[in-house]
Amino acid sequence: MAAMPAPTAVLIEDEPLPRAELRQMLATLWPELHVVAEAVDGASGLRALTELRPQVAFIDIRLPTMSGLDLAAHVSGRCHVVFVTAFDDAAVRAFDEGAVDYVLKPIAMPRLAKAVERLKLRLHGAPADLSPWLSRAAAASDAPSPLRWLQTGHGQQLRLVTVTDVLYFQSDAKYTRVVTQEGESHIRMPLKELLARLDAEQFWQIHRGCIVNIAHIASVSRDIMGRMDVLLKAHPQRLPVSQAFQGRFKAM
Amino acid sequence: MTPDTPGFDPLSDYADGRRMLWWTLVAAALAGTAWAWTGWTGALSLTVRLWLAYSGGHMALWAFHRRGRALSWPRLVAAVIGATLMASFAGLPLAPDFVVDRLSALSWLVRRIALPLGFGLGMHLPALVLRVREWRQHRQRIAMAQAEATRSALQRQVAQAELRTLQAQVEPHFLYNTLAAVQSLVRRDAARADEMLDHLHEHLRQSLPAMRSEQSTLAREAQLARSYLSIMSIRMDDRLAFRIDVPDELAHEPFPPMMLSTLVENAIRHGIEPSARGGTVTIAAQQLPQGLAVSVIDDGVGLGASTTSGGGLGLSNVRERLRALFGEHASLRVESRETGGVQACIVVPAAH
Repeated sequence: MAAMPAPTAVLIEDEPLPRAELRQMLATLWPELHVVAEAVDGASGLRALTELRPQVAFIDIRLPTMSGLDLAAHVSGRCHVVFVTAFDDAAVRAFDEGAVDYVLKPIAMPRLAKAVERLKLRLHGAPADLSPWLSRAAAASDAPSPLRWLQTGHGQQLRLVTVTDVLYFQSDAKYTRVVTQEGESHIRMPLKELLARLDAEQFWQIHRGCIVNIAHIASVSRDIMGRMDVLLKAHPQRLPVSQAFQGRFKAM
Repeated sequence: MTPDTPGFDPLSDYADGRRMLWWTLVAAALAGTAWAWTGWTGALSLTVRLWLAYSGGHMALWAFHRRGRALSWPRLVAAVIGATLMASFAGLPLAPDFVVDRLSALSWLVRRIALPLGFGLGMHLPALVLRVREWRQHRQRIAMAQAEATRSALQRQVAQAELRTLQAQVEPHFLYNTLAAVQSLVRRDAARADEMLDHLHEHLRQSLPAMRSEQSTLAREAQLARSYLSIMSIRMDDRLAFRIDVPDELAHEPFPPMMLSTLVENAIRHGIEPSARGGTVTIAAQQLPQGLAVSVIDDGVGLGASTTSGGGLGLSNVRERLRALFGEHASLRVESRETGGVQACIVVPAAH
């Protein structure tokens, strides 16, 4: 029987110390394994994986530029993946059924030894398609949370604005205007997308081009012609409520 | 009357002006009958004129009620006076001694108008004043109830924000990654491992009781940030440098707990970590006219490089807690710097 070529691996971990530790542990547990590259972020990790096509990849889940889960999705079926992660990653729970291997940081030698044993066996077969587990893990780790802050343009400057400070959003020709008590800035996100990501209890659309934060409403006035206006607590602007959106106020 | 005083309509007595019109017709019919029987007597004339003056004021209030919008009380009173005056004038031709020439005789006018005008105003104004007082009390009660609701909502928000801070305090991710780094250092560089454990010990000791007190001091928060930054600096293999510039005279100023740490964590996570060349985090404190300003400045990748918006809890958590503690007197501002990187600044009102 011809000797199998030395198995190859890539280590993707942003912090140097755990990376060095992993390298050393692997050298002890699996001397034949040839670590062909180490990467410090998702983008360079992906480059290493696609160019060097290693048989094994050790991937940290939390990485700059691209998460370890996204990275694994790119090479699923082409390389055997072992995730390296700190204890609290929600994604780990999706892997608990054993189909996807992972080791926890700080790495315990016996646990890594077990992963290495499994890898040696798996090397004889084709790498598993991880996509079902990855999509579940991704769903677990980025559970949809409402938008909490916005990066807005303010002249030449960029500024972070917490959404609770926003009085109202108004769509403009190119931008969406973000009005707070301190002043105005703009974002590129269109109103429609914004509406989907804001807390619907807190932010009400009152017009085709306007979303108001109800926490900042002082009163709602209606005249004899049925026109409805929103008056704000700390801003002189009157915001018209178009016919289609008046129902929500009338129900109050 | 105004939309912000639900459940109270000070003009509810004047809601049914239509019935008033109908009664006017009935009264006119009665007056006509009386006139047909007895002729035009002074008493009959006066009754009709009093009725006219009264209904004038009533119709004016009815008109206001129908508009149903925010109005001012002076305007309401002026309208009643105006309408009653006009109705009293309108009734003048019904006076038994009316001749057109007399309209220019002031003393006659005053004598004939005084009674209807006094009657009309007497019927409406005192009632209106009472309703004003009642309405003001009602509005005050509502304002108090709203203030109470806001206060309890704020208290709830503080509780929630504190709970989240408590949970986020020693982030498990931070702890386990630090332990992983220590594990590696123990074999490679025992002295560095020892140093790291000292910082970790300091950090845990400082952060665990922090949330129990509502106020911490700037010195204490800076110390917490220092131990965190020291740990991260070792973990990031000296890609992270830091400077803490808190003047001695500000060290004992009160400052809310765990806010500075949040800004420092953000600076590292979103500014320095994604940057290949690393960077420096600077903490600076200074006394401004509007209060104590504490800034966290980094020269990392800057705002534009990360996502355009997010669901991260840290920043909105700090904002909520500031608002709960100081209302509008505190501020949090996070913006890009011209020279690259981000500056985050918290201003809290001076303690004295």
